[in-house]
Amino acid sequence: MRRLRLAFQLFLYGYLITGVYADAEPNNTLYYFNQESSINNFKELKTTFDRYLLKQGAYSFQPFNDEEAFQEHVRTTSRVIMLVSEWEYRALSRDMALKPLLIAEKEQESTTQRIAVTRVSNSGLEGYIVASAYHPGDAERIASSLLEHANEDALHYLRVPKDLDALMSVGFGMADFALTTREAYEDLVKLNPALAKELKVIQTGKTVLRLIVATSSDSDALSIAELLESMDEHPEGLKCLKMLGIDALNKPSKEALIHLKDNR
Amino acid sequence: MVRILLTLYLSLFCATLYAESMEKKPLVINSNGGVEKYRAAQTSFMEAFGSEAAVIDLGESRWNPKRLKQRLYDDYPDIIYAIGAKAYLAASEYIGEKTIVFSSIVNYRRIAMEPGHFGISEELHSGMQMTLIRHAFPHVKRVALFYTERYTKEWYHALKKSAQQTGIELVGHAVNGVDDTKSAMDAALDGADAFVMLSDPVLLSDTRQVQQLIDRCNERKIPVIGFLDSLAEMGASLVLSTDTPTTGRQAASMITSIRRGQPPAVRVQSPAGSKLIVNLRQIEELQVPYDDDVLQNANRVIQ
Repeated sequence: MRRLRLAFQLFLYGYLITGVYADAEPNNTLYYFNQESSINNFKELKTTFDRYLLKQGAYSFQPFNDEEAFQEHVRTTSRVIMLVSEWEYRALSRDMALKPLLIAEKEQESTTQRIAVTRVSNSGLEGYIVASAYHPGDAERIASSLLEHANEDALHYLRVPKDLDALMSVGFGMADFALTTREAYEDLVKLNPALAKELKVIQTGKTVLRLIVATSSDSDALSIAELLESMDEHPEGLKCLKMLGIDALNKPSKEALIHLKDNR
Repeated sequence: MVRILLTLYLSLFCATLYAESMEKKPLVINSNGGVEKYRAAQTSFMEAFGSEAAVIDLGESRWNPKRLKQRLYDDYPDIIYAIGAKAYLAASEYIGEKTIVFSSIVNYRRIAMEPGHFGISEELHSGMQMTLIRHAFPHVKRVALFYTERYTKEWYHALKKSAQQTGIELVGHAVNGVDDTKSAMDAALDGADAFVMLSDPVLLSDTRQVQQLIDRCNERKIPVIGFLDSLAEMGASLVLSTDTPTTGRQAASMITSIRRGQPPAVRVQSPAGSKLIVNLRQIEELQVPYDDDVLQNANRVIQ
């Protein structure tokens, strides 16, 4: 009886210990969703990221194309680490305790601005076909602030694969307005100055942070956060970042943290 | 009094029915739903249109001409979205007087279009093509290509004009056939930073010759840019083509415009969405400079 009790106690302790250890096991997957980007190369993204991350340790990358599925997953996964837009970060923060670990940068800029563009010849701001790379619901949300003149019910959204396509659609007559970023517009100025001259910015939106690496628990995310922060130092890692339209992931500045706390 | 009210009610009821019937659902005719790009266009059209549309898939064996004609006469839709040449020609033949929007027809100019028909070309706007080439290879100054008088002369001239806007000098060499390209190759490539492979039915007729052309360019460290996906597997560094799902959405936009009484100013639009295949393995092998920002916009990266 005594042996039986001892065996049972040993079994119980062993179970508890392994249970605790399993609970402390870090989540080594970086989950990604960005509704403000039409990335239609998910397979490439995952393959390229996994190839790099696996070399650094048992890490992996999981992009999502559907917001509902993404939110459901991160809400039910413990010690989750994610890469999301500022809008998504704020949406999840309403009922999840999130901590921003890293902020994405491009050419040392951690923020970007959305803009609405039309043809210079469209002085009356006529037309209603709006081209953008945003997911449909998000295009409507962004248009409501950037196309204030327009009757929202009359607008028709044409989703295109990339910001450059949205701008060129307006330039070559397939759309009346484009919702895009200031960077994409500045890129077009360099790539095709003659076309860019035919377009004009009619509204500029608020400044938003680029992608945010956030976690629901900070203790287990340090190793993957360090790995992500050093990605730009390796050619293969930089390639992964470039596929997301960024070139670095760095710890948030004081200004970025204030921005996240304010502007709600 | 009751009779008056009843008559008024019936009149209003009939008027409502009439109004509803005026805006019938569009009919989608798909040349062959088994072909992936046709299916992709149909799927994205149905998603974008937000309402049900009837679909006829000409890839199904039951659609013989007699049956198809009967169905089209019975349905007599106000507006048709025709995917592919077979669908467009069938719709034109039987109900050509109706509004038809087509897409996914290679070189639509060879087909006679009737008034009241609109479409989306299969080829990207030349301005879009040159802008994307500049995006991938910002250092390219001089680009060479071959064209034939019969099939691609117009395309060459359009590209040349667009190239000027992006600061690129495009030098075209007219050839009669594939055999001419062998002897003209070295002279054409002299001083070129890149080579564009136009989708010319004559020039692409011999796969072996195409491969030899690409290999020659790669030997000389000159990246090849093409407009057919298969060229990426053959060693082209960059392939630009139409994003088919966007085409379906664009067709939905055109139909919405037509229904609002504001048909597109240009009857045949260029595709609004582009697809990029970046053959990074080839580019790195050639050791030619490229802008890695293009990776963000690539649908596929070959590594």
